[in-house]
Amino acid sequence: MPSEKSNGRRARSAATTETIHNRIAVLRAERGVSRRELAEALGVHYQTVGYLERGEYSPSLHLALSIAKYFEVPVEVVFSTEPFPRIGH
Amino acid sequence: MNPETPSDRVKLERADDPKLRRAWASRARRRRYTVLYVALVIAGAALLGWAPRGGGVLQAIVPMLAMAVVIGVVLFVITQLNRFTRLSLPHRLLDERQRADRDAAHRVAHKAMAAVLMAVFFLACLVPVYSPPSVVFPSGLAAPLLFTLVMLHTSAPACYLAWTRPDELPDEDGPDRF
Repeated sequence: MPSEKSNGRRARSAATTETIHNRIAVLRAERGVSRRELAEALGVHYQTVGYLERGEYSPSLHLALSIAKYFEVPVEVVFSTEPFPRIGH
Repeated sequence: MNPETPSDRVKLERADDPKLRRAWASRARRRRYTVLYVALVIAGAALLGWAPRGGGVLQAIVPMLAMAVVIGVVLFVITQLNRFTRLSLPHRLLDERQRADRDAAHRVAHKAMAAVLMAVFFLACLVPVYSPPSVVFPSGLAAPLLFTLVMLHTSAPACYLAWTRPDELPDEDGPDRF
């Protein structure tokens, strides 16, 4: 039976490796929307859009839903816990 | 991140000033300034420790002027660090990512300061009290130590953010390139 200490360490490790993959950059390129335009529509700083695209920040549920609404697609089209398949592979 | 007043809009425009962003967008440059800041704090602490007691007016004025210059430069550098890391902006003008960053910086800084304060308490209070009479905390170290602690406490979140934030992305719509 794992100790509480190792459970805590595992939980911390899982928290740091939780990655939400997204297709914001692809959708943005498809629609011809600049980072700044998207940021203004979402009410965030445009650097935050960059952080989201680079996978360096996982958005709140509210922001994720706002992004999906902006692109008029279901949220699972934009975000996934699994990596999206690459085009041409 | 909704500017409600003209003053809020001015604050946001200043924070996003292209000149300021060009100066601080690179993490390497931010780290250099953080190192400069720490060096200045050490220099200030050394000056405080070195300041002669008694003597003539000139002997008192020279170290005081030197200290004033160091404090002036320290305040300038930390103000710039605060501006770039957006610590100078009110919480309501930040978006969720910036708020999370700020919260993380304050959390880390609080933990670091708690450790430093515990170490100082141990060395300055407990060790002299429970040691032989020959072991005393040098009173000349009190002012430099207090100066260092105040500077550390006030600047730790800004230093953490300046050190850890990655390079900013270039603005697609603007002319600035980093």
